[in-house]
Amino acid sequence: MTLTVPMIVEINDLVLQYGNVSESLPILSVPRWELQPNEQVAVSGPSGSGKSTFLNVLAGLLIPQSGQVSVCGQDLTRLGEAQRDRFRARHIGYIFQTFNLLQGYSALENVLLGATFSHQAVDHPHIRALLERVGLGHRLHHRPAHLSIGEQQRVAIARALAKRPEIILADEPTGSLDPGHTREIVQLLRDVCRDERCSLVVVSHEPTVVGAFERRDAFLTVNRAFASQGATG
Amino acid sequence: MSFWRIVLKSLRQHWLSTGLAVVSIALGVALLVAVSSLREQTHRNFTQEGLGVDAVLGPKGSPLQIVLNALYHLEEMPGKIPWTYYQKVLKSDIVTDGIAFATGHSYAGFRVNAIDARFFTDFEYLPGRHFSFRPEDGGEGRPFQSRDEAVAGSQAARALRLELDSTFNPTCGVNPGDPVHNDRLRFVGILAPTGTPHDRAIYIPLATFYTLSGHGAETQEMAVNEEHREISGAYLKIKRIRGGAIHPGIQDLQYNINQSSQAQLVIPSEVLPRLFDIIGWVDQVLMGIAALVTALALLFLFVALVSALRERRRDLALLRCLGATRRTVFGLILIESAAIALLGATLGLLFGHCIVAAGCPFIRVETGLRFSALYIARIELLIVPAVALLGLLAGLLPAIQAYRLGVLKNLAPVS
Repeated sequence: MTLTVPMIVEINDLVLQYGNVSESLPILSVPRWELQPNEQVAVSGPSGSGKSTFLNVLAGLLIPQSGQVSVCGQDLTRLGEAQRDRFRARHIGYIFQTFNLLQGYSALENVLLGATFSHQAVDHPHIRALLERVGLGHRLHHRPAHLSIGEQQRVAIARALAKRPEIILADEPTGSLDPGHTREIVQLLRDVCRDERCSLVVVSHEPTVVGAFERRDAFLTVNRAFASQGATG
Repeated sequence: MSFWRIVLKSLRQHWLSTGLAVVSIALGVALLVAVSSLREQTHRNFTQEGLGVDAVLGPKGSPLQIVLNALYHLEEMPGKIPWTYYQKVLKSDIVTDGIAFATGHSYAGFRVNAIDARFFTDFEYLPGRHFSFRPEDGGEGRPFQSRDEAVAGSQAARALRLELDSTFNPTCGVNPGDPVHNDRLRFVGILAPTGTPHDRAIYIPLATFYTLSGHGAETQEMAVNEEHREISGAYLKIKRIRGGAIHPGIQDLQYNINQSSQAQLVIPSEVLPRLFDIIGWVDQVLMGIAALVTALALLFLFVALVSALRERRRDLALLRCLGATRRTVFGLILIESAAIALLGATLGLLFGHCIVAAGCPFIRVETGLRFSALYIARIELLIVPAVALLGLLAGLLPAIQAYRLGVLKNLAPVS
């Protein structure tokens, strides 16, 4: 007997277009894509190939015109906007290239904010442990302006994990870092996600980042939108 | 981190615009509260507390002028009434007491009223309250007993630095440049403060009025000849019926007196509202200015929120990305706006009472009327919820803008 493991992400026949659907060409066309629980994947591709758009679809920030986008067993295309917001609040952690920390909040408050909208009790010991884990135990009350670039990205990682999400989506998470910090942050991200039993999708065009992952998906093979157009984005 | 903590953080983060909006709303509300409080207390002072007199018997002329002269020591009496007519009125069944007075003198800007000595013992300056000379009440000395003695109201004494045994020469008239009598009178009593215009007057015996040097022989004769004696007026006490109300017969008495050619009966509680009809536009203008300041403050709040929203687009988009719904960010802006308005209104309420507290001593010196900083004006019960509601309205458009905010557009990396 074979036990079927439910996928954390399952995409079927996804087509996304901007503007007038009848006139515009697809930006995303993903016939099939999957991610298993606790799996980590680097999605690589040149700038403009639609990697960030893909990540936004996984986060429920964009809804395709057709196809199925199932995250944690929930088809996001069947949810309304507010339901997707709540779903994202509960299940998905997001890391940005530019960190997007709130400047008026301390490191600890920024991380707490990550768990605020999940509609579950905020686990303060867990959040403090996360900050310790990313090496910021001594910088809890510092504001982003007083943290280095590397430290800011560590805060962003802790924030994404604060609500114990099932999946982390990271959009060029090392885009603002120097090569030394890049390796360090990618390793940290992978380790923390593994510890927290959380799947990880990293979108990057940097070979250093992509090379750190066992599973590497070249986005131009995932996204078939440009195949027929002969473009690389 | 709770919703309310996020609101608080946001207010603190934009402390300058928040502070300015709070202060401007507070100023508008403070003006509204202070103007309302002073208006209502003035009205109460004039129509209730400042009386202690059921009716004033006075000469023919403006009833308002008679009340202002008899009770507030302002204006001048339009004439005199015969003593014999006053005696006749005293015999009326419903008149229980009367205190005659003669006005028209002054000293250093304060009115000098010649009055029956029973004024200090029988007259109620407020319902149930009599004058006191007791030191524990703030008074000194005793009532006058002879013709060369005088009593000062507390404010007159303080302003003129009068002490017992101080002397003065009354001026024959109430205007600068009027002649001064040669008669020297000595203060034998200083009244305890009453918080009424009586604090601003100086009192001399009624008999002295007729015997002051410089008054003609005709006036001198009034001291001995009651048939020719005249007075400026008299405070009358009217019989009460069950429940403490004035006897309804006062209407007939007023009619009969007013039909005569010698005097008129003025009921202060009927006359004073007319004063407010005359000066009502002043406080309407003040209220209008205060309302305008409050409206401008709320407009400032609106502008501050709209401009702050431009700076906060990225932060709000981030909250959306972290899972906040459109309704959450809508509520965030709306509650911020209401919180600023609420804080401004509450501070304004306190400032308003502080303005009244600061103004009380000056008003008292100028008018003799006592105001309380703790008086709650009717508008105060409405102003905080009303301003909070207007704050919600001011925040509505910025909140709608926040509601419509595009997440991806505002989270795009900034180079």
